[in-house]
Amino acid sequence: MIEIVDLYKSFGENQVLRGVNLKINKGETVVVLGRSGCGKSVLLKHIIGLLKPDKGKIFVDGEDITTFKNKKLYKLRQRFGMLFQGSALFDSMTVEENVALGLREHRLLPENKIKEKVKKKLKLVGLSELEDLKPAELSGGMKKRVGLARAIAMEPEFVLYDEPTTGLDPIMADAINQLLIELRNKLSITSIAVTHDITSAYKIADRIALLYQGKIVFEGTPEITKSSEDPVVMQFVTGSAEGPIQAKE
Amino acid sequence: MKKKNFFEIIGEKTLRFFEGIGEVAILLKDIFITLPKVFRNFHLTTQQMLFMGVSSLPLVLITSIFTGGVSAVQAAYQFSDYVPMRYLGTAVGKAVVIELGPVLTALVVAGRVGAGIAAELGTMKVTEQIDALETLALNPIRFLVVPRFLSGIFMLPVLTIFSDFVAILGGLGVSVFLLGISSYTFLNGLKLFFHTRDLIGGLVKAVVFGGIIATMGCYHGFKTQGGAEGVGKSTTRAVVFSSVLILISDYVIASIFFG
Ligand SMILES: Nc1ncnc2c1ncn2[C@@H]1O[C@H](COP(=O)(O)OP(=O)(O)OP(=O)(O)O)[C@@H](O)[C@H]1O
Ligand SMILES: [Mg+2]
Repeated sequence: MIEIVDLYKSFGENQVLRGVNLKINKGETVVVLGRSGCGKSVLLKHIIGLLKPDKGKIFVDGEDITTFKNKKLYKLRQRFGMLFQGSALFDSMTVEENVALGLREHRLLPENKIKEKVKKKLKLVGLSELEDLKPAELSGGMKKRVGLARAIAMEPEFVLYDEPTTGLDPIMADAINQLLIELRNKLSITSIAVTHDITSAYKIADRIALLYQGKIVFEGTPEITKSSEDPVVMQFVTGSAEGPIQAKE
Repeated sequence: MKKKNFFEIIGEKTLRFFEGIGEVAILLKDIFITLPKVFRNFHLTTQQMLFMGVSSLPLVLITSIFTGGVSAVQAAYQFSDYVPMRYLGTAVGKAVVIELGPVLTALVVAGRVGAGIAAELGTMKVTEQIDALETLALNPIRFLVVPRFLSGIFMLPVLTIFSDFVAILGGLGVSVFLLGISSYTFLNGLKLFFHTRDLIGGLVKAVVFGGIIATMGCYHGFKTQGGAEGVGKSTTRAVVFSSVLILISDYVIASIFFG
């Protein structure tokens, strides 16, 4: 279980998070919606300890990880996987090496088992044939899927997805949605996904949370979200330029 | 934004400077703490060593042969009629082994490898690859910095030995073919006042220079912000700072060893 309590983060004058509260239960998928630049990626980076908050706590299974240092932090991260918005593949390595890196360097398995596992993960994301290519030779959507394979390669308990379906064609996007649902159902992975893709959000989410002006202003199941009468939520879900949220701020 | 006055700018720059020193000190501390774990992933270090050696060797050899040549010409000119030419080998040898070999090799490697390290790590920083390493629970110091640091302090002395050798050959060639001094005379002069201390002093310098190049490359790479432009800036900074530090530490080590 992950519990975010009253999280604040500013970059200089720019107050990005202003008291975020959010709870993610074990085995649950929570989708965080929000406008571009509202701090979704920043929020995810706090959960895995890449950024330190100015104020507030993040509990993972009851332990406040914002106080974790070095050894403890690395130990914790072994239980996490993260898909970056820009994929963040290691461009000096092949696709196969990217996906295998965590397993290899932590010596989690013998080499032949690692090879097998990497093959399986790449197959899951529909990229079986591309093992020996370098990231520079892949399309944006392919990179995203390699990033996804890398995030789940070590079979983490928690996965953070930063826009898992952005840049994918609708068919592949749906396949990835299916994969995320499968991961949750079969392996009971706890996950937080950030997305702009409302269709995908409805599909994969157990709960949807809306980040607006540095706070979570709404939380609810997809059904509740759909029928919500909150003007901010309605505007976001219907994707309208008219309403309480101004297109330009 | 408010325009800053002169004193504010000076104050800010001074603060930045000391902050930088502190950060480099912390980086060095982290490197030394992580050093013992290097053997768990030693292939990363050997990769760096190969890359560093292979990529800089041609350049080092070319600069060295001409440096040796010019130091022979220069020494002969300075000797003119006052110092016998049998000391030419001595002068060239000492200059190369103590000073020119280590310093010029270091400057060439700073431009080649130091810049490369800063550009590579800088790109990794701005494309979030360093963050990605962290999320895989892999410590970037252990995976990126320590291999480069070790390869720096090991490969620079190796390259310096090559450089010394080739530079002396260059000096010898110039003496024999242009200055009309026999190779026997030159080599005798070389041996005459040769001290092991000279060689060791030169190699100690090389170790320190290698450490400087790798540390500056990594530090400025990690500090990179803001896309391709930022990467360009860090690369320049890495080269400038390593070059200046190389020359300063050269003076310091020389005064300790030979002062
Ligand atoms: N390392 C950083 N340094 C300074 N400012 C930052 C940093 N990272 C993010 N920000 C700022 O924080 C704000 C939120 O950024 P973030 O990347 O979290 O947005 P986002 O919600 O993920 O947007 P998008 O949907 O476009 O990805 C932005 O205003 C951004 O400028
Ligand atoms: Mg984002």
